[in-house]
Amino acid sequence: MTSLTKDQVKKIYSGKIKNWEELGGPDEPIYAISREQGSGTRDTFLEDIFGSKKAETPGVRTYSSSNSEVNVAIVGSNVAIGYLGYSYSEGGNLRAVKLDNVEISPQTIKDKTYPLARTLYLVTFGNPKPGAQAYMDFIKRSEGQKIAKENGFIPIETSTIQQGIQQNLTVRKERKRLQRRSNCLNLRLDLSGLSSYPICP
Amino acid sequence: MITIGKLIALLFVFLDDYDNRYLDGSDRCKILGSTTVFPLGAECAETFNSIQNDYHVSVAQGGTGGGITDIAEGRSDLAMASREVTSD
Repeated sequence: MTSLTKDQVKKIYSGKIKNWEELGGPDEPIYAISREQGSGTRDTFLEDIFGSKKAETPGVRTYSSSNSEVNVAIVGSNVAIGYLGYSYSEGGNLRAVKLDNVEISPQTIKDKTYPLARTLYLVTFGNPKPGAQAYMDFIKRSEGQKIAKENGFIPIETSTIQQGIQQNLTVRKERKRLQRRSNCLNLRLDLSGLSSYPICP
Repeated sequence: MITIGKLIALLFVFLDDYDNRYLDGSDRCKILGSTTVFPLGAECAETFNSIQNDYHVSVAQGGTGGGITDIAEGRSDLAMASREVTSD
């Protein structure tokens, strides 16, 4: 199996396609692997394939707690399918299938033509402490991005970093405006203190 | 003469500072979260720690959700996330 469509993946994970034979493969039941709740990888997968991170997936046979577990489960089976971070496929033991006829590569991840491409973030609650800021600055510099490339991650462009910074500023201004309004109207609003800093596209 | 009360106060001060400082006296920075980001986070931490003495970064896995919960509850300083974080 070298290529699947998003619709086929959706049908596998929703239990509508149960056997590899239905996709032109051997007569073997499909062992679909997913991630546990709390996984950002799971949320991205469900949103991209089903349109909602709360989608039900009755076709799943097992839920893994990490990318490493998914990796081991797929490598140990000839009937398993799963989703995991691109860097985990770099070891050569896994074969990534084309999705909607797009082959996964650093380029298709960077330009988002690969359907399951996503940005990775470091997140703070409020302003970062000096140590956290220094660490994030290191990752965004050439030394950090060199480590990213060596480990199968895609280096980030300055424009994406700047966009992330601008988004945080916009969110903070909006929060301040809402806070002033809530003070006037005596409303209780749940304001998140989160700031996200993209580190890989 | 140091009393028991002063000893207990000193112990609490020591434990509080222990949580914020590494063995060599550098400030701790705790990072938890996505298993996708973890290989990058951990290797960057190892290099970062080796090139400066002001901060010591430790990185652990716990999923994006676990990382976000930890920073919101003050148990760590940075979360690693493999998705955009939204209010829901």
